[in-house]
Amino acid sequence: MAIKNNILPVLIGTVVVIGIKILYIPITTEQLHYWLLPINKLLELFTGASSEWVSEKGYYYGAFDILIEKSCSGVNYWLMCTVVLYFLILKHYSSYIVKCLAFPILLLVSYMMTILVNATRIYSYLLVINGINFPQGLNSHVVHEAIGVIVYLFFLILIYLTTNTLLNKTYAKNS
Amino acid sequence: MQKILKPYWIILVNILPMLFMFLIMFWNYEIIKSLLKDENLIYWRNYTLIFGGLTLVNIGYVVYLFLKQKRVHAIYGVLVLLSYIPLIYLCLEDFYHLIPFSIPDWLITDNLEFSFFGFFMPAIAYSVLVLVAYTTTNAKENKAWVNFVIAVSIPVCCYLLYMILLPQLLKGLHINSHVYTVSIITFTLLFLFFLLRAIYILVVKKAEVWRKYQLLWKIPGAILLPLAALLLNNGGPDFILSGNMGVLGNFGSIWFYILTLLNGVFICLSNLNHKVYRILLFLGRAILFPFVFYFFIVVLPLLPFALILIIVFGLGFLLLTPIFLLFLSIRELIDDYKFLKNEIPLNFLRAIVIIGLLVLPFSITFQYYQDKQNLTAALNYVYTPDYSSEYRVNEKALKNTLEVVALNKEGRSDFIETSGKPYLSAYYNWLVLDNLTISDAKLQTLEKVFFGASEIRLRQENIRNDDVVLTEIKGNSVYNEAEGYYTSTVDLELTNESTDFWGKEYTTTIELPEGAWISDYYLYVGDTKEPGILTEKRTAMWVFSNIRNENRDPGILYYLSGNKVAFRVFPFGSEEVRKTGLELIHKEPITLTIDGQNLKLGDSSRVVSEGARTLNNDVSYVSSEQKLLLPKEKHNPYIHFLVDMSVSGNREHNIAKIKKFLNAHPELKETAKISYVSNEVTTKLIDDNWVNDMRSQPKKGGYFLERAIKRELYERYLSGAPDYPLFVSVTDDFQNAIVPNDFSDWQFALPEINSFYELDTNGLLLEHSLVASPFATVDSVLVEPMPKTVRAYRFNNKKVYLPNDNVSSIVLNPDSKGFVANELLPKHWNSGLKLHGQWRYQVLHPESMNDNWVAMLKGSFSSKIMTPLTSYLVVENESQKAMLKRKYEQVLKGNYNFDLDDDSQRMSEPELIIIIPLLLLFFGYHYLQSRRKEKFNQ
Repeated sequence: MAIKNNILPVLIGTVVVIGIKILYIPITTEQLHYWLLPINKLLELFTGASSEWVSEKGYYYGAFDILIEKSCSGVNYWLMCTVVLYFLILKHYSSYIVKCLAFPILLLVSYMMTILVNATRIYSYLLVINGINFPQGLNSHVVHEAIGVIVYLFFLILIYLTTNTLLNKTYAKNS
Repeated sequence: MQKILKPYWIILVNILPMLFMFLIMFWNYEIIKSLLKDENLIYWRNYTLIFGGLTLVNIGYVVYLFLKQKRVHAIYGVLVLLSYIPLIYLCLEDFYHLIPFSIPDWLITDNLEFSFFGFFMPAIAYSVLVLVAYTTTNAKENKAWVNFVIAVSIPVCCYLLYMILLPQLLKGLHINSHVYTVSIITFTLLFLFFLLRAIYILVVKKAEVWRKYQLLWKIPGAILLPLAALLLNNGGPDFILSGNMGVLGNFGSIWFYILTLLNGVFICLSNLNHKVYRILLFLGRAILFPFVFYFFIVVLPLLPFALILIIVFGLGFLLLTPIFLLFLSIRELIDDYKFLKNEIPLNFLRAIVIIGLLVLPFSITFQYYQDKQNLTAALNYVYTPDYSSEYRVNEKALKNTLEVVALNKEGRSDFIETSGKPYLSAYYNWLVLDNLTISDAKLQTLEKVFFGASEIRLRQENIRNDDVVLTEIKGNSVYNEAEGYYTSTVDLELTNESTDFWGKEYTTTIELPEGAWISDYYLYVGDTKEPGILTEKRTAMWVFSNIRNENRDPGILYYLSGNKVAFRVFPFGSEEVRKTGLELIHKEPITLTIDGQNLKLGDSSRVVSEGARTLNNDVSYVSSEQKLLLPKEKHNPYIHFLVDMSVSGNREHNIAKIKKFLNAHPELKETAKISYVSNEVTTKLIDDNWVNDMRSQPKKGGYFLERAIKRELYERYLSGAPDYPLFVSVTDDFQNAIVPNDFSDWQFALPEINSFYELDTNGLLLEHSLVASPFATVDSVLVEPMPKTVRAYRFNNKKVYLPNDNVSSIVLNPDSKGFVANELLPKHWNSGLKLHGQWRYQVLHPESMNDNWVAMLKGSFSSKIMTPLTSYLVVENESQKAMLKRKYEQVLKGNYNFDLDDDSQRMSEPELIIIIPLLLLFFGYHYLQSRRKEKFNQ
């Protein structure tokens, strides 16, 4: 991927990603109600438990005593996934139009994946924490963080490798 | 020299230090953010954007160079110099906007300003090197001496210019300080440029000569100069063992000298072609490398001042020693590595490097961790003890730890002469103290408890309140029929009778009756009635003392101990009258005494028919009416000698005093107890062998009377034993006893009396109060232990004793396992009772404090009722309110909803700071793999 051929798309991508991160700072959980809705629905489906929306606080699961709010929105995963996919598009496509159009489409695709991955992350944590007796002193926050890292990395690498292989094959076929 | 132009150097000298700087600034920001004002936050945001942008540009350039397989361009060097130097200059000018002067020193990393400066120095030094590389393409054709002469002439010329010529030429004329600064920076860069160029040409031309006579320059360069630099830093030979100050930091410990010497020896040892010898040499050099690197980063920020120091002191070259030493160490390590690569397996070699490099950092971390464990144990023992268990504190290690904590506290005093160690102090504060500090008072108490004495002297607060008097007091009570309690407002008018210009302060102590709590507070600031803000007590007191120093308009209310509440208003101008007031909730009519004036609150004709009110079987309220119905019991006293077994205690004197007393009162011997009190407490019944037993007890630490008394009260309360103790302190110097301000918090555990005694040399007992100023003698009495009558209240099967009086009492179930005060309604009397019960549980079980204090704070905030952990404060302006609000939010962070369970967990995403490096690692690996595959296919 030659940088000089991609300066504008990279610049646009960087500005959009940083812009979203900055815009995200003042947003409250209340404003994220509809963003969190699909993640919450999927989690309800996975766990079979029901949640209730607590104003300004988020979705509360009484059965597990957990809260889904702003910090669980998956926005970091969404942006990382978009960047990874965009990098592959820039690597494999030379058309300027494709490169510029790809970004908004990838944002949408990544959002779909975010719903799945984020719900999986929380569900995995619930499975692990309820299924394994951890030694005393091991903070549940550490377990939660570790599971989050593993799930996120697993899906990001999986998406990267799968897309890369698919694009390589398409590229080879076309050439 | 061409190797210096490889792009990875930019990562090493520019991107990594910048990221490290971000991390350190982020740590600091996290600590002080609640104290920053909005204008400071704008500076933080702007500089984050600027430096973040610069880092991104550098990353982009490195990626470009890697992809294009190009070398670093000379223009990069020029651009870095032209952009970084003005930026650093600008940033230092704005530094007080980033870290305002109002932020206490101890909150911030040691020498942050200069550490911050240091992170840019590698990039600047590297840029000079890049320029040297480009201007010296053929070293053999250049003359080293010409460059040396130019380099040396720069400081000489500067000296003549700044010290002699300019002062003569510009008599009386003022030159802008910026002109001086810019010219000094320019000259420094020129000096470094020519110096590096000269060294480079010499190394290239005379490589063989250098190698042949290496000991001639290695011994002075690697051993003598570093030792001289250390001595100079520590102020001379006298400071070697005892010093605790230094120019760059406190490097007075003998270990710095030993490691410097060892490092010098390892560098000077010949590189023989012997496998085992070279492995050991390599390992030794690798172990000491972090030590050399540490000093390199310590002096790095000072590099620009090297020239000034050469001009002024002529010794600035010593600053260059760690840099020289670092290059020498790297050279020797590379040499060893190249040799061993062919002798031993590569993985073994890598393992040696990794293990070697980790030895010192790991040792330091381990040592600090030990300090943390020890300090935590000592603090728990003194401040949040579990009275049912024994403690083990390593006293020798604690002594060192306390010394280090005290030195680190002084830390960020000045650039010149600091008692902390750059970077290491910050690491210590983070690892051992969690970036908090220990107050002088706590350090003093710890030293007194464990070592018997302390050199720390506390500053006395100067309160100017002689002339302010309470001129009017009014009360109004409203009875809540449905819930059955009063809400009373008390309005006060305070007058300064002095005509002095200086602001006076009003200070008094209010004793709240049992079952009465403060639920609001106000103070008139000008014509505005400012409501009190309920906040965490320590923050409030910190804010109050800061504002008080600035002569603003605060008022504060906070618990001292037991039911005593401190009330302070400040300032009062000449003959000024100020209005203030508070709100109380109480069950029964009460009489409030403020400054000798009594105020009746509530309707005494209303009969409180309700009996004991028990909440959750943990805490009960016994009304005055109900108390009269409880059965009476007569309790007999027993003597409990608390003998001073501290390092300064006189064992034989104490034995003689007790003997004399027991001879005069033989009837008391049968039930008497004796406790040997040092920093530990051993309690026994007095038997015939007590004299020998006492002689066999070790003398150590301080006379920790507080623990002896509280432990006995704790055991008595839990067991419900009917006999009550008459504490008799046996010591030669009662002023050495370690006691709290008073034992009011524990009054509930000893309803029979409010006194304890000191045994004097004549066998007389001197009475001291348990509830006010324990050091002062109340009276001298002949002992006549009398049975006392109390009321017995039953909690399930256990008895709790209450004073035999006609006022209400609050009772905690001795079997309570602790409880969370939930369902707290704002300003509701029941909430007050729950919070009070929770606090009393904490008094009995201080070990639960760390787990419960946040919940207790939240309880106080949500019910708006002041507890011993909170304080009502009135502040004057919006920024002070915002600061308090931020602190309030900080405390409640993690508590999204008071109605939800406190332990509910947020399902937050993992931190980007963990994910992104791991992802980059994967991409790097993947990229290398595909490159390898491509090469293989070709």
